[in-house]
Amino acid sequence: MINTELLVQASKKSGIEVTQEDIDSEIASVKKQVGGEEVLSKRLSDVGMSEDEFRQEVSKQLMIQKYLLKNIDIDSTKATEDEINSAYKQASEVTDNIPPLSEIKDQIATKIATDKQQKLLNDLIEKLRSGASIEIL
Amino acid sequence: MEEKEEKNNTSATGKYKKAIFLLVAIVVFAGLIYVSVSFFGLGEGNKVAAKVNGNQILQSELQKRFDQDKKTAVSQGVDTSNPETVKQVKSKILKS
Repeated sequence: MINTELLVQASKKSGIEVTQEDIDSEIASVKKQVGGEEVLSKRLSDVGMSEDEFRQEVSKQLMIQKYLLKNIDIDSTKATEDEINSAYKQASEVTDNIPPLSEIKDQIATKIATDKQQKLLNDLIEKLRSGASIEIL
Repeated sequence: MEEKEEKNNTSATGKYKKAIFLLVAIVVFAGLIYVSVSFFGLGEGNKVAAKVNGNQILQSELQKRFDQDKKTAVSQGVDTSNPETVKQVKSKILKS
């Protein structure tokens, strides 16, 4: 909640805005993913979240997404051939019967990219934390 | 002389009554505050869990988030009946 608040504050500070259309479009997409409006309503009710709270949450997440896209160089997180080969080599040293590289290349590339994105996100949060006043009471 | 003494007594009784009335009023007022705090959400839930650049995160928001994440935590084998575990999970949620 503290990291989210820091990211929301930083997003607002950098002038990022989320429109009602953005929120409606995202909610429509979520409804489609989960299997319709009724399923979404049931899931929200199961976790005790009102539709209004859900809209606010979507708004926050969209704001953070826009902020991260602006502040994190996603292209730099793509896995290189060397990194994929090196990760495969390491995995094959500790795993018996590992499938051929061609079969799991995409999985390895995704994992490497996700790890890099996570690292960039952690660095960004750390930077925001270092310049913030945070009190845990 | 007797009349003056009686006047003094009446005045003292009046002051005594006023003091009692004031005391009762304070007790009633304190009671009303207690009731408000206990039953109308001005208590524990509205305590501040954290402040981020002056913006407050309330205990009630943390509790709500914990309740929302509880199902997932239980499905991952987290024992949410253990107060120490609950404390750790809440701390993790708060910092997230």
